[in-house]
Amino acid sequence: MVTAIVYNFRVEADVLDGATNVVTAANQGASAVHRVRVTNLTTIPYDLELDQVLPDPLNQRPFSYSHQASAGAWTTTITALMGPKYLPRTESLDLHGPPMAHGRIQTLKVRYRTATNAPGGALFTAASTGVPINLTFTVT
Amino acid sequence: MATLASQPSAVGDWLTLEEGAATLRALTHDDMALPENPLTIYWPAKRDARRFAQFFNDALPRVREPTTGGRRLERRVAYQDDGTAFPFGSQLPPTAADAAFLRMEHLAGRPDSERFVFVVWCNLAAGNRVTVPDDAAGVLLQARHLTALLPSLSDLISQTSANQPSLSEVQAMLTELDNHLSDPGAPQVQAG
Repeated sequence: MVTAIVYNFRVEADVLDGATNVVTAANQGASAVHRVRVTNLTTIPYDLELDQVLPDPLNQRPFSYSHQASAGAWTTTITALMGPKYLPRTESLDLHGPPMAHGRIQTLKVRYRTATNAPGGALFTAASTGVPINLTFTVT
Repeated sequence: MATLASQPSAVGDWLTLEEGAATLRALTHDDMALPENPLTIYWPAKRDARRFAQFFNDALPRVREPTTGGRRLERRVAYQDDGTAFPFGSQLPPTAADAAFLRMEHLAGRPDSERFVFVVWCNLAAGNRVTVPDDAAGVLLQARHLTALLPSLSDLISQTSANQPSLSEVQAMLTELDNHLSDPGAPQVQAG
């Protein structure tokens, strides 16, 4: 698991196996899920958008996102997140290998705005510190 | 006299207070997880961990809940850039010198219905920027505590705000906010 403070949020990223254990490696064809958890450290609610990417070139990537059109990226939206409980988002990975190949997973961007009608809160701002959050995962 | 503008929303009323050139923002929470509908006052605070920690300690006796029918808990945490959380006691630890975020909270109630009574938070990294964002620091408190905290909160805001409002300007805005919370049905003076 990797964590970072991204603006007013604590962001954690990891990969879970089929039994929801945090893992850094898994067998080719096994179940795996990329999980991102966000904790709002403030007491005002925020809307968030998080971009996740697999930054390695397509032909060198040992895994892909299973259900995304691009297979190399997904974006999740969180509405009116009010701390301090975290909100998890997940996307399954297709571990196609080859065996013993390492790949990178990034939370590339975090955009935020104060929720719903806050003065000055209509537009999303991209966080400039704490990102990207980098994970390395191995297909065994 | 300070002016107050209110913008209702699904999460509560977003308030903007103005006195002269000074501005202060607040949100009255409409949240099921916060049953007493507290409010958060927030402002563009410069990095000053010591002053925020001191404010929390000084304010606690005025907001601390009785333990009858439940428990009360105080938590103080300094977060580093990498997300590592360092809990601390009433004394600010040396690790807070390079912390990215500070959050101090007082909770009370039964374990299954614990609620936040008082929270002070400060984004220390944002407070270092050339332009400090409006939501760099905030205080969540119960409306009934605002009168008692008004002097010390006015001090904190005027001393830490990047916009450098005077103490009297902050006092005028918080007094207007206190009046509004005491009588939310009263006609508002719209800002701008």
